Formats: sequence, structure tokens, C-alpha cells
Amino acid sequence: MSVANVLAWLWVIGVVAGWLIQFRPLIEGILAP
Amino acid sequence: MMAVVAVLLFSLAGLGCGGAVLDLLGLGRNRNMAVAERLGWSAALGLGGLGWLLFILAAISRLRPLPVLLLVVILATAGYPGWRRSLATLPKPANLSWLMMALLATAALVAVLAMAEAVAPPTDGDSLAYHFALARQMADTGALVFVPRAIDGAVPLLLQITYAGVRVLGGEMAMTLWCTVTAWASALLLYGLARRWLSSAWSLALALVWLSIPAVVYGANSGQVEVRIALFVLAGTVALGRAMTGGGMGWVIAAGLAAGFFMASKYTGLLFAFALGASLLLMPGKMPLMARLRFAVVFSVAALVAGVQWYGWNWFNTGDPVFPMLARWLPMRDPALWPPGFESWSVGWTEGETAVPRTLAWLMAYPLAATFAPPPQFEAGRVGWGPLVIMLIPFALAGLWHRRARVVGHPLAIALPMLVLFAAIWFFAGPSQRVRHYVPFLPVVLLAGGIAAHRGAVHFGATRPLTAGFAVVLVLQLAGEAVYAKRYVTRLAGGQSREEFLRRSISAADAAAWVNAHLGSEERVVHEIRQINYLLDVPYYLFHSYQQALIDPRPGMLDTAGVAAAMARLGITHALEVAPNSTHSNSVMGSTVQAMGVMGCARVIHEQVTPDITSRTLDHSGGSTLTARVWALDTGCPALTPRVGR
Repeated sequence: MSVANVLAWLWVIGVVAGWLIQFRPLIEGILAP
Repeated sequence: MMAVVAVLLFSLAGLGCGGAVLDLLGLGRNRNMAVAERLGWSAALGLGGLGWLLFILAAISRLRPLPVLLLVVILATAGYPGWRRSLATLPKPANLSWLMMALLATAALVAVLAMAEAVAPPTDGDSLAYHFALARQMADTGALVFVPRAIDGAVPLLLQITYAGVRVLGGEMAMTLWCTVTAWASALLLYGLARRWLSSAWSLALALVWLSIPAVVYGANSGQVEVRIALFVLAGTVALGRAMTGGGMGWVIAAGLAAGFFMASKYTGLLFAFALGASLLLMPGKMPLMARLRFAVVFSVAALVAGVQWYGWNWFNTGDPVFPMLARWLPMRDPALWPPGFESWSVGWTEGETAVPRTLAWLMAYPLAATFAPPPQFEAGRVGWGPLVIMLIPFALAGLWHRRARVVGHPLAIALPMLVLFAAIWFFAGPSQRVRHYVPFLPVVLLAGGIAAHRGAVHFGATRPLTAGFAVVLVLQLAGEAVYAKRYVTRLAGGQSREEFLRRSISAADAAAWVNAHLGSEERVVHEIRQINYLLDVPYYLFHSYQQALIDPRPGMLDTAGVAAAMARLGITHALEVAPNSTHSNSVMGSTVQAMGVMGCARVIHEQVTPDITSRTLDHSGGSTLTARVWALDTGCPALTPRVGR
């Protein structure tokens, strides 16, 4: 796996995680019984 | 059933009108234009053209079923020759890859959810306050209406008049269905244009990501205009880019028309037209200056022809074509519409719209803040623009670097200066930092960014992470859409009535229902709850604290008698006061009717508890309630008379 590939994977994972984290209370609220 | 027929007719009319314009400009005969792209271009030019023609019908008070039906039948027919030619070139269905089948299945799922949302009564606050409320008024009267309210009354209404037209034929559901269909048209144009540079799977993925962006899900089935305006931004930008890369004058006219349609849909269209026109002159390239100037003149004339109607209507009614932005300098028809000094009070509404300082650093940081940690003023959390825009950046930069020698000559290159100019002007001079104002530009970003990112990923061997990123974003956004659609699906499954659905979705909806049942067309109710405008069958006046001046809301400007006199001039007979649980409103309106009550000039004729809805999507009111009171006002009461008009 090339350096570009590794960096690209890290970037994609980071962006998704960074975006999702703001919805934590909302997701917890939806998943709560 | 009539709703579906009306929307089908309007869709055919829009496509017919746009197709005819394409042919007139000599663009539709291009053999390189695939059917999807032709449909997209037709939808963009046709939606604008339809609104432009409906304005004329309404201006002569003929926004009635028969004239509207005649218009749409003529327009649908006008596009027939082009369609026959185009459909003859329709490619035979090829064997679909598993990826395409998965994407098509996803599109079908999104369509089902969108339809569940589209057939529900409208509940979005802005739509009820003005988008649909004004459309309803125009449909009910068969004519143009003028509401002397800044920001959401006396504004360009090209799209709202199409809502009014389709409502005339098919009623309320036609209006919401039409909104969904026109939102999907933007995805069609995005797909059609992307197919020029990308495979069908990548193009479809881009279109699906666009349709499932939270801001788009939220805006598509409402009357909010941004998702539909995206059609005009996409069409205008790509058309001008094509004109500058050898496409010719037909594309310049198409770009001007699209920019004009944006101008006619929202004031920010003026900025878009300027940014696009300026980009035409500023773009580096081999095009001689004289040719650019010639293009600029034609672009401007086309934009004016398409966009000037509503500015003329505003000027006719107020004396200010961009009411109330020039009211300080132009002679007003009625000075009471916007008295001297009112502008410094009215800017109070922007307090809740800005969160970060207007600096260059924050302009650069805005997309990051809007994506990852938006302050509430951005309205970007649950209705933001999703993570894909940011995710594409390094891939797109890699693509631009790889193709750097050919970037300037690319038809989409003009998007960059246009976007930078618009964003900079709006960020530094605009009154609001809501992400909604940038939503019309997202398809251009997705198109240009998506193509560049694809090229970059292919060159640097990183297609897997990019593909995975697309897939994850799509899944997450679709999950969000499923949450949003839940209450619509529940409504359909449970057979919830319109009244029950509205009551569970809108604060004070049941109070509006009481007003409708007990007051008549001879009476006029003043209120401050903007989202019930659409629900009221009786004449009403929205007592807005910042955006109207006919009842001056500034503290200390009018005493009780003064407010009563202003209400008397507007023919107001009743007031609907809504206040937190069992209290009274301390607004100017609330204080006035209470004072009038003490003076024996007003009495409560109805009082009820109504749920305070804090989230429609999550279907809860937090348990809090409001108290709604209907007051009968006697504005000619002797206790007021000596001071009225003072």
C-alpha cells in the first residue's frame, strides 16, 4: 500500500469520525430504549 | 389524484419549455448531449421559464385553472419536436454492473422516502411563514400579492409562483410534490453533467450524495428555495464555462437566463450574477478582452430579461426594487412602509444569524467549522451539508495538480472564481452565516470537486479510500434521511389526519384551526407566530418585530392608542396572542392587547393550551406547552379615541 493510499484512508476515516462526533447526543437519544 | 396529474403536467411543461429554449439557442441539437443531460438542462431553463410566464399570468390576474392549464399544455407541446429527436438517440439498456444496480436500488429507496415526505402536509417553519403562505395567497386570489415585509414578503418569488400555479391545478399536495420533483431535477442535471467526465456509477453516486445531504433532505420537500436554485447555479456556471471554452453565444444566453432565474428567486441571485459575470472577465485564458466584453453584455441582458420581473413588482409597490435595501435613498410610495431610521432597528433580526467574526481567517475556516463544529447560528448540525465536501479536498487538489496544465481551459474552471467571489462577498457583507445560503452552490462543488477528486485518486492509486468514503457518506446520510422520514412514513402507515399531523408538528396549529372555525373573511387577525400564516383561512397580519413597519414595533415609538390606530388602519379586528404556559406575551403586540383589555377595548374570546413543538423530526415537544388567546379588539373604543392618530 502506497503512502498516498494510507494517507487517503486516514483522511477519509478522520473526516467521517469528525463529522459524526457532533451527532453523538442525537444518536444516543435515538438509540436509547 | 389531481395533485399527481398537476405535477405531471407541470413537469412536462417545464421540460417542454426548457427544451424549446435549448433548441432556440441552438444547443439542443448537439449530438453529444445525452438524454439525461438534456433533461437536466431542460429542467433548469424550464423551471425558470415556467415561473417567468406564470408571473405574467398572475400580473394580469389570470392565475386560474383554465389559463394555467392552457399554458402548461402549450409549453409541454412546445418541447415535443426536441424530445422526439432526443428520445430517438436513447441508448439501448446495457447490462448493469452490480454497483450500478446497488446505486439504482439506493436511488429507489431515497425516492420512496422522498415521496412519503412529499405527500404530507407542509410543516417547515419558513415554508409556512412565507414560501407556501405567499403561494397560497397568490393561488387563492389568482393574482400577484404584495406583502410589505422585508426578508420574507417583498422578495423575488419566481419559485413560489410555480408553487402557486401547480396549487391552482392540484391543491396543496401538488405543491409539496412539485417541490420534491424540482429538487430531484437538480440531481438529474448534476448526473447529466457529471456523465460528461465520469462513469455512470460515479455520476449517480454524486447525485445521490447531493440528494441525501441533510440540508437537501430538509429543504427538498419544503418550499425553501435553495435546493431548486441549485439548478440555476449549476446551469449558469457550466453554460458560461462552455461558452468560454468554444461553446459560443447560445451558451452565454443560457448562462444569463440561469443567473437571471436565480436573481428572480432570491436576492442573493444578484451576487451570483455578479460573481459569474465578473469571473467571465477575470478568468485567465486566451480569450480576447473584446470577446469577453461581448459575452458580458449578452450575459447581462439575458440575466436582466429573466430576472427583472420581481424587482419591478417591488418597485411598483414600494418605490424600492430591492425593498428595503435602498429605502433610505429612494422616494418611497408610502413612507410608513419603511420609515427613516427603521433600518438600524431592523438589523436586530441578524443577531441570531452570525456567530463568527467576519475575518479572512474565518472565511477560510468557515467550511471546516460548518462541517465539524457548527455554532447554532450556522444551522448546520442536523441540516448541514454533510462531510463529502471536505472529504474531497485532498483528492481534488491531487487531481488539480496532476492536470494542472489543462485546468484553465476546462469548462468547470470558472466555478472556482465564481465560488470564491460569492463566498467572500456574502461572508463579509451578507447578514447571515447560515449554511443554507451556500446550499445552491454545493452541486457545482460536488461536480467540479468530484471530477478532480476522481482524477486525483486514479492518478495516485487511491480510488479505494475515495470509493469507501463515498459509500460511507451515502450510508450515513441515508440513515439521517430515514430518521427524518420516519414521522412521514408513520403518518402514512397510521392514517394520521392532516389536522392531527399539523397539530403534532406546528406550535399553535390548533389555535389557528380555532380561528378558522370561528372568524370570517370580514375579520382580520394580527399575530406573531409566523408558521401559522399558511394555516390561516381568514385574513391576517403578521406583527413581525423587525421586518415590518406598518405597526411600528420599536419600543417607545407608539403607545397603546398608537398601536391600536395602526391596527385599525390595517383593518385588524382580532389578535392571537401565544405565550409560554399560562403567562402573557410581553411583546409590543401582547402588551398592547393586554392594555386594551384593561381599558375595556379588548376581551379574550377564546383561550387554550397548545403544545410547544421543539423538534418536528424527533416528534417531541419536550412536554412544554403554550397558552393561546384570541382577543376581540375594539380599535374604535372611546377609551382610545382621544389619543388615536396622535
